Amino acid sequence: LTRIDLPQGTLDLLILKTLALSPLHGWAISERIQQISNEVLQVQQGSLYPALHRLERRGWIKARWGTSENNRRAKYYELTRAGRNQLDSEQDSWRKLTAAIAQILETT
Amino acid sequence: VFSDPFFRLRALFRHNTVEKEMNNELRFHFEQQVDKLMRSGMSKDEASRQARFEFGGEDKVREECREARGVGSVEMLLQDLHYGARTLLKDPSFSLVAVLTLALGMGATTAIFSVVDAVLLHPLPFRDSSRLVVVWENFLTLNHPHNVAAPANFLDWESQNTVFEGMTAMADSHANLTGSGDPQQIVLGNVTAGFLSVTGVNPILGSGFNADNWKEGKDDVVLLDYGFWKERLGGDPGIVGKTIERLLELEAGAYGVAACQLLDQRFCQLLTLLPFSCAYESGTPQLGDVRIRPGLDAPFLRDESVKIRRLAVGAK
Repeated sequence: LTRIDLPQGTLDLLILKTLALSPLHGWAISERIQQISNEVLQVQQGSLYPALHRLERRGWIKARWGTSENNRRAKYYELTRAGRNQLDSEQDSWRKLTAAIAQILETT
Repeated sequence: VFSDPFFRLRALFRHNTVEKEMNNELRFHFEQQVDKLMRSGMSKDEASRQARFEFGGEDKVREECREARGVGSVEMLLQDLHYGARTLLKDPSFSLVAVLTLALGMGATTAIFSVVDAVLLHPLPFRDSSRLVVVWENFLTLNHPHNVAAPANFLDWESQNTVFEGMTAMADSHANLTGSGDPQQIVLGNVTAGFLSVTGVNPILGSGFNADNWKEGKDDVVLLDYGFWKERLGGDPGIVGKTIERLLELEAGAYGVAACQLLDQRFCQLLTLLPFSCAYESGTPQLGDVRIRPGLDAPFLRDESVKIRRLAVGAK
């Protein structure tokens, strides 16, 4: 099984999408991304946290300390309303981008 | 909209809390990952090593998180200030030297700038000051090319002038001002009648000197410097025509003063303007530099003045 590193700039989109389902802490976000992508996508774990803090600063997600499954204090992130709008527009442009690239690849 | 400044301010002022939170968050992640790897059958050591490898450089991640919080540069500045303050407190003699160095530097800079400002940046307070030149006597026997002009020579220059739009002479002297108020030593500018038209100085009150003042006995008029008028005479708007004070000229004795007129503010160096009396002609050469407004270029100017000087010398 070969894992693919995330293309530049897609981590934010994946984080927002993952949080759209439910609030999660950082480790769970990286696990979830790997699981859903059938272990194909490899999130460089260290790069996850700067991205989370950046998204929090932009007001797209907000953090709250809670208790984890194994009863530990963990920092949970959830999507804000602004984050939901951002997710919509990023999803939209991602679809357009991939559709356009697919089209080019298939015609040649 | 407000989340960004709020977030950054919190990161800045609750620095320790925010750092601790970040460390807790990262440690939680690390421990979760170790747990997961151990569940898959690794030993604790192995799992730690693997988790650390997967995470990447921890310090680098921390630094990137700080940058993401958007206060990296401010924090660095605060650290620098902190460090600087500690260094200064630790070593007072070093601080003293640093302060003195700064003080001397500022003082010197200010002083130099004041001179440059006055001499180079501000033009002379006269109209078309770039077209004003000074004409000197060339004292051949003493090899002194910048000698002040004798009054008689100046009068010859002026009467035979063909190259300048106008000529005027100026000397300065001191006088004691008595009468009402404290006695005060003041600087007099002694000028010829053409001074106002050559320099383009216009009185803001009164009409300035006229040709009549250039006659003996009629030269008891002065022009007041603006600052002097304000300070000594309270800016009296009805000053024109009044006799202000008794002016004692240091060497020449008492001097009656009347018909006061005012100069505008640009003309600050001279307190009073006395018309250069014809009576001076036969006196000692106390005339100062000669201000002349040229209409021609410099080499020709030099030839002309040489010619005039010879004429003047020949006339003696």
